[in-house]
Amino acid sequence: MKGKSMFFIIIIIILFFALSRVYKNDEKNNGGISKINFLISLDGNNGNKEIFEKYISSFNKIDSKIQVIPYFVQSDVEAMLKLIYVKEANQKYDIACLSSNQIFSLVEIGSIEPIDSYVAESFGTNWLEQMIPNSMANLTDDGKLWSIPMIRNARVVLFNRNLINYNDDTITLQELLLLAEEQYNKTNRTSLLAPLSGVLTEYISYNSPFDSIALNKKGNYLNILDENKINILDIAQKGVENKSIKIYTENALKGIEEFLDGNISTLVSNTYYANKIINTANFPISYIPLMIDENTSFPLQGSNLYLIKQSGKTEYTTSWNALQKFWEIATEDVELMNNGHMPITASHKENSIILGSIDNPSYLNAIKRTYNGYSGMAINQNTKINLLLENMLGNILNKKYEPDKALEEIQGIINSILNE
Amino acid sequence: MHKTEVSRKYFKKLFTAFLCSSIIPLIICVIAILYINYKMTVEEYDKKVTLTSDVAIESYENLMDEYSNILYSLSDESLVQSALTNNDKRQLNEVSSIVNPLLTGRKGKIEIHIIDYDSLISYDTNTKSRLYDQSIYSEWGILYRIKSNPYEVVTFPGNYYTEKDQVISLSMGKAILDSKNKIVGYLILDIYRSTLLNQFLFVGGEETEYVLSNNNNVIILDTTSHFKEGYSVSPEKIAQWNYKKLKLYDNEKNETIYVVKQAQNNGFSLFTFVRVSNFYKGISLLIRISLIIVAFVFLICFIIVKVQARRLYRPIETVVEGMQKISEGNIQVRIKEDINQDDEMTMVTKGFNKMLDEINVLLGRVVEQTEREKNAEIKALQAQISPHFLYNMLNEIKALAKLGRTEEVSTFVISLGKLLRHSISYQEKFVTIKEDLLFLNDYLDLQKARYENNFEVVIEIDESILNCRIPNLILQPIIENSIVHGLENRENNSILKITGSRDDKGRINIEIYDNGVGVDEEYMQYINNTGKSSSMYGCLGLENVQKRLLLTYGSEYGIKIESQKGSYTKVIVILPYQID
Repeated sequence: MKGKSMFFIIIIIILFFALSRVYKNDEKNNGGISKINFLISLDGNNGNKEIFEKYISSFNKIDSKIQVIPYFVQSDVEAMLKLIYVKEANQKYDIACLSSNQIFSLVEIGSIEPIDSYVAESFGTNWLEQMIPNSMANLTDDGKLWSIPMIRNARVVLFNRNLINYNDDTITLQELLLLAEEQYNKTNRTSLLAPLSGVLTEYISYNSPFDSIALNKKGNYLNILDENKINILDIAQKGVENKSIKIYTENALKGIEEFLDGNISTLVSNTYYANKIINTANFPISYIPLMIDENTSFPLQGSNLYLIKQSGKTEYTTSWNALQKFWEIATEDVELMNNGHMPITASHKENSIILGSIDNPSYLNAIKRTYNGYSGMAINQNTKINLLLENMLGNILNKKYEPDKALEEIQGIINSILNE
Repeated sequence: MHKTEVSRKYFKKLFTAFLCSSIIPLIICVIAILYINYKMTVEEYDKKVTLTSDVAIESYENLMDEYSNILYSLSDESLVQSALTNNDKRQLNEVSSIVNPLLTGRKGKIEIHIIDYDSLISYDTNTKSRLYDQSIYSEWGILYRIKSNPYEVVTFPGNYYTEKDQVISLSMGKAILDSKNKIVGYLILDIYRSTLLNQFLFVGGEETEYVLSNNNNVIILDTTSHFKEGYSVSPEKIAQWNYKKLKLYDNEKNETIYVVKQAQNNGFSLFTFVRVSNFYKGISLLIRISLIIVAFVFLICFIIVKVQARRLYRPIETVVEGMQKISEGNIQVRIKEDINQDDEMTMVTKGFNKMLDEINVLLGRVVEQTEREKNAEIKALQAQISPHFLYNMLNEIKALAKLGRTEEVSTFVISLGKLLRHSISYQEKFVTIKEDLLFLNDYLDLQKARYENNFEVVIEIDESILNCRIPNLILQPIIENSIVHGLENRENNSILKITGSRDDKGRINIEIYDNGVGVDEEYMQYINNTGKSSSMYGCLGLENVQKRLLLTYGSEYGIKIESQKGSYTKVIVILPYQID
């Protein structure tokens, strides 16, 4: 009898432990509340931590079943490192917000989960119809939708109306560089302040998806050995050399002090900073979108929301619900426009205009179709190419290399990378 | 109590058997009818849904084939290829001469978009989706599918609104290739929701609904109103649609039941839903009604069966009651025969009564036989007394004669003669005590004469018992025994006392007391227990009397001896008080 009782006690204990494992929630259920760890890089939103804190606070008030816990980092690189080393750091992230141009690197390191099925279930197939097309650039690859846009800024050119009078709705990069040269010749002063490295990287890696060769080529293709591109680099190199163009690092207000001092006529920035600059400057300013060519805008900058992949997990409903709700909060925020950010959806745009939160709505219409900056490239290869290009451009602008030879050399390396 | 238990058990068995045999077939019948009806109707619905599904999917296939042919035809048009290769907007507009004839009869059903490879120029019969912008969506959606499968017609769920607020549910696409099979543009055919709907509208009837989904479970068309078009449904939910019977609830929690059949074609699934709620409601109602009827019939059967069972059981009950009475000793019971019935129970009743009659007769014979045997035994026993007594008397006469006591011989003979006359006259089995006393007086006279008045006789009998009838020749052997075995060897002061009265039980107690030598304990025990064994002591007198009394009256009566050796002997004769 004693033996029998012991046997039953052991069975009960085993069942108890088994059931306790079954009920263990992989999203850290705590009395029915799911905790979502949200990794936020401040790169994509120009370091505006307050926006996220405001949204997270709203989120946690609305949804009692999900609690979002933010983890802020200063840069995308830091965020990527955290995602790569999650296991070692024993820290798990459920959703993340990083710059929109990190999408392919994130796919490359296997950190993000495609969201097609969740979008189809939550929003339906016509959801993308309401999105302003330019805000959807760089979100799709290989038939999959990898993230959703949260914040968007456009590259804009600001003019000090006291120093320069430019009246067109848009300006291409080439026109800008030539204008800078012209201004310098007139005034013998630096006339253009620009984050040239980033701008030129985007320009050079602009692979005409409208080139039917790219469309039809089996495999991946990037053509940088282009006359227009060589020409632009020549002008840029010359401009840096003769100091008609001054380079500054993006996302740094300190770098644009000279413009704010009223000494430089033209500044390349984004709509987020344009807002602050206009409010800060003591001279009249106008701003227009910067274009790659007359039909193509530079890709919008900003941040996306990503669903972080978890090892051993196949279902992300709770994480998706948090991401979806967060996105809805952001895209309903008409005050976002006051910060210089662009609307993501058509209704967002309409409401923002109606509520007068955009003081220069004409630039929105001036922004033309943009492009998928890395379309046609292998997902696991563009990080290398991106670093190569940045490095090369630095050397070109420092006059270490000539543009044509540098591009030719890089094209060869790119071709071998793409054919790996 | 025992009688009730026995009869009720069989009655319950009978009742249960009747009830079951009446109700169970009915229930089986009802269940069979319901089941067959259900099965047949379900089969009918299955056939209907299968047929409808086949027709619907064929209709859908035809539509897809028709539009695929349009796409193949247009994409092969040299004008289209040339306009796109040359990136010539003006030339592209000329394709309307080819497109318009294709749209004849199809206006309002489809829209066509011819888009060049960089989406800068296009020919559109209506507004196009934002997803047709190569610069944004080259890697997703229909453009991606076209690019990935340039030689085939591909599809993608639509769900966007045109200028006139009409819904595009499905898009088909094909790459436009140049002479070197390079993609130069995209050809997209948008299908309105109403077009898809019309394909199924006249297939199946009012009770039929459809859900069309693609291989990613995105709902392209839904006429059930339970699902959202353009949204995907989880695979688990879709898997449930393959069940025979599916319950769906609307926003107000109203339930609708469907039979569903899936048909597949080229990555699409067409689910045909046939509404069967009314059928199941009907079945449910039918079951409820059947249950009520069964319950009602059960009640009626219960009553009828009970009545019938009782009726059928009654003869058995009567027989059982009769047997019970018999077991209690009443063999005079008879079962009343129903002269109107001529069944087996009547035969049993008759047989039973006949059996009882014969038992009665046999018993009577046995009783008579026993009585005769008893009487014979009594007579035999009784007859034992007279020769025994006569022998004793003749011995006495002989002794007296030898002694020369002729006066006494004469007295003896005269007394003996009186006694013998008495015996002859009184051959009755029973005599009154008064009569027996007369006989006893004569006997005592004889004995006194024999023993020269050596003992004193006292007779004290209650007057109330004088007329009581007792068996003949009971007292005399006892008295003789007292005189011969008790007083004979006593020289003086011998007393023989005879008393008679009634005891507290109303019985006659006649005591014959002598102060003689007494009897052995063994003998006393033997006489007191006589009846159980045959004669042991050869003393026929007391043993004879005891046996006779036991035979006549039973063990409650008889004689008891009390004695003290050398002191006295008392014989108590216990008899019932009988006048008649």
